[in-house]
Amino acid sequence: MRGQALKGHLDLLLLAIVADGPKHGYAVIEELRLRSEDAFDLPEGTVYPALHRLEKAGYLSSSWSEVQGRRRRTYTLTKRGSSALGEQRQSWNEFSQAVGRVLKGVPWPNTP
Amino acid sequence: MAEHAVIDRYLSELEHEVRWFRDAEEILEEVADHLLEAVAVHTRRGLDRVAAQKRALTEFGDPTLVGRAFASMRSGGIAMPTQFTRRSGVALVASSFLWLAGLAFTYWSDLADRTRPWEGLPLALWMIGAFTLMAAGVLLAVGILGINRRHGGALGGTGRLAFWIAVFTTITAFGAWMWGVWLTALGVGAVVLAIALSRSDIAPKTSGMLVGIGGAFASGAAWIFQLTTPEVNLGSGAVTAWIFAGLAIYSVGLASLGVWLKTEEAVDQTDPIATA
Repeated sequence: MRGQALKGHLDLLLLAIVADGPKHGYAVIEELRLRSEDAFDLPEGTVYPALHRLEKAGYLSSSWSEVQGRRRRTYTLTKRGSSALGEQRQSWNEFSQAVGRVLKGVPWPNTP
Repeated sequence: MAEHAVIDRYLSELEHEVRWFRDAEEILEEVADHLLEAVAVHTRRGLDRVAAQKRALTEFGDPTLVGRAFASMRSGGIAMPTQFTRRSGVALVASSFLWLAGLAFTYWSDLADRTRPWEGLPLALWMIGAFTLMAAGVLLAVGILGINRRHGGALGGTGRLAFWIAVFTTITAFGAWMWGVWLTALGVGAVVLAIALSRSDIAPKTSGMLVGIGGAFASGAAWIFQLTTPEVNLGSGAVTAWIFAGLAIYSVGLASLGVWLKTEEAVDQTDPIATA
């Protein structure tokens, strides 16, 4: 899938992935790849700015630890992020169901 | 990390892209952690060391693209050329011409009639000169804002001082005949701006130096004449020539800063996600 198609939904996906537990960037991207079954053709490096932006907006928090002799940044969903994720999930479900109904080609109701 | 020479090269390139971000070091540490983990995974899957590094970098994306993604996904406090900074470059170029034009009009006003400066042509010329100088001051202030934005606020307190001096210069320029006042403000502001530019170390060094030297020269010339030959009016030809020379140097510096701001590619004109 083109990156353009992902634009606008990346925040929702990232929040959903971090919602399952704190993760560092590589783990977030791997999870994105696994869950999407490699559907999103996105340079991994462009995910980090999105994580940083979500942190700056207060949806994620991050902490540093040392793993195998190098510093690692781990992201955690904040309360605000959890709330935003809930809202975005609902919006997405409504939107995708509406699109699905249109694509299914529901027949025009017969006039009585 | 000699065993990861390919990764090291990439990190150096990325460092160049993000060097102006306040958290550049953290970005590089995080990216390094990602890349080394990716290399370890690819190596476990059977790739040799170099191939694993190349695969990791291919998946991560071009450093320029990644650097721009960092720039475009932030707001405020980030050093990057934007459409605003490009427009502020135009403002600086315009300002450089208007300082000279304003000075010329006020001098012309003096030449037209020194005994009755508040009537007819002298008054009109004086008004044009005063408003031209004020416009130059406004555009200078906009230009300083643009430079500061381009620096991600790196001009700091010195830059803010230069901005407010520019505002003060604009106000005092309304009294265009009080050369000692607005020229002093301009000279002090020019030196402060030059110091801020020198500290931030991003703009062309020569431009900042020309601004500082030119502004100080114009202001200094006015004061030297005023103090050494008080009988000579500040509007005299000799004084004006010296002031004009200083302002010309100052204007060249401003214009070159403006061209520098104008010609940089704005990062907010591209969309890294869209081009992915």
